[in-house]
Amino acid sequence: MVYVIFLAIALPLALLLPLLDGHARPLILFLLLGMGTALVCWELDSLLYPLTGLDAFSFTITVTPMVEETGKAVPILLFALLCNSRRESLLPAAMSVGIGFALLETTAVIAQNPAAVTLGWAALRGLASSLMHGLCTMAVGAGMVYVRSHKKLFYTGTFGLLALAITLHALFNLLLQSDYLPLAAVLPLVLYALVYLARRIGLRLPFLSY
Amino acid sequence: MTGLQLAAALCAVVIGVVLCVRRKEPLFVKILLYACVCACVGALFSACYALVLGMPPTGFHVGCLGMTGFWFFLLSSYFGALDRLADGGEGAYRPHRLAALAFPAVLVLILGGSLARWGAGPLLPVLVEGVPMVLSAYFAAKHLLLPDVEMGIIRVMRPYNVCVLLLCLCRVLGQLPGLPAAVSETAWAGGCCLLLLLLPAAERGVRKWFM
Repeated sequence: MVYVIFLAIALPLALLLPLLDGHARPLILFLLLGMGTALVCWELDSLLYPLTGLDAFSFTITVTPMVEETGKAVPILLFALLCNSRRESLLPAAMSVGIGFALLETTAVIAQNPAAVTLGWAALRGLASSLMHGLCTMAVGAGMVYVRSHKKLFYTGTFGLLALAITLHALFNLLLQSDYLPLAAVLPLVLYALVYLARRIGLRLPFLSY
Repeated sequence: MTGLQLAAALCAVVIGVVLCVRRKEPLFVKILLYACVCACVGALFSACYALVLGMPPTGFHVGCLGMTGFWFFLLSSYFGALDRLADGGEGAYRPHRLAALAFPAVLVLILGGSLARWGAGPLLPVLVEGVPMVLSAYFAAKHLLLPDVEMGIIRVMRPYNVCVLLLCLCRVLGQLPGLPAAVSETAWAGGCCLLLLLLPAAERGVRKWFM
C-alpha cells in the first residue's frame, strides 16, 4: 500500500519538475527525495522490527527515530557534498526533505486505518508531524553547512545535531502515543516559534546564522 | 535523579540564553549553549518517559543520546573553536600534549575494566557517550596543562576545564554498575551541579579575554 501511495503522489509531482523554474524545482525535487527516504526507512523499520525483539511502542521511541533521522540526513549530506553547501540553499532543502517524509508517512498511516481518522486528527498530525520532521532534518542540515568551509565544526557539530534531532523525534513519538497527545502537537510549534524568535531578534547562533 | 538532571539542564539553558542575548559571546560559548540544549532534551525525554509509563527508563534509551549530543557539542567547542586559540601546534609543547592523554586514558581504563567485568549491556548508556566524552577530556586536560605564554587565554579558562574534567568523572562514576548507591548518587548529583556551573565558568573566563 505504501508503494501505491508513493507512486500516486510522486508521479504527478515528478511531471511538474520540468515546468518549474530554478527556485521551485529543487524544493519539489527534495520533497520527492523525502518521500523516497520515507519509503526506504519504512522498509528498514520493517526489517529491523522483528530482529530487535522490542514491542511496537519501544521500537517507535528507540529505533525508528534513529533510522529516520539518519535516513533523512543522507540526501542533504549528498547535496552539500556534491552540489551546494550554502545555508540559503541547504536549509530549505532540508526542510523540504522532512516535509516530504512526513507527507508519505501521514498518508500511509491514514490509509492503514481510515476508519479511525478524524478531521481534527488529520489537521493535528499533518501540522505537528510535518513540522517536527522538517525541523529535525533542518537541524541536521544546519551542521552540513560547514561541510566545506569549517570541517572541524562539521565533523563534531553534525553528530551533535543528529543526536539532538533523534532525541527530539523520540520525544515527539513518545508523546504522540500517550495521553499527552496535545503536548506532542505543541512541541514542534514551540520549537518553530523559538527558531523564528531567535532569527527575529537577530541572535547570531552557530549552525543557524553563521 | 531524572528531575534533578532536567532542572540542572533547564537552568543551564536559561543561563546560556540570557548570556548569549545580553552580550556578544564568542563562538565556543554559543556552541556550549547547544550542548546544554542537548542535555536538556535528553533529560526531558527521560522525564516524559517516566510521566507516560510511570517509571524512569532503565538501561539504554534515546534520552542517553541527549548527553551524547552534549559531549559532541563540547568536543565541537574545543576542536572547532577554542583549540586553535589555545594551541598553536608548537613542538615545544608536545610533552604537555602527551601528558594530557593521561586523563582520557584513565577514563578508558575505567570503562574498559567495567566492560570486561559487566559486559556491554549495563554499560551501554555510558558507552554511547563515551567516545566524545573521552575526546573532550583530552582537550580539557591539554588546555589545563599547556603553559600560558601569550594572551592569558589558557589561564582564565582553567576553572572551566577543571569543571569539564570533573563532569567526565561524575558521568562515568554515576553510571557504572556495581558501585555503592551513595557513590553513584553523589556522582550523579555532582554531575548536575557541574552542568549548571559550566556556562558561567566558561563565560567568566571569556570575559577576561577582552579585559
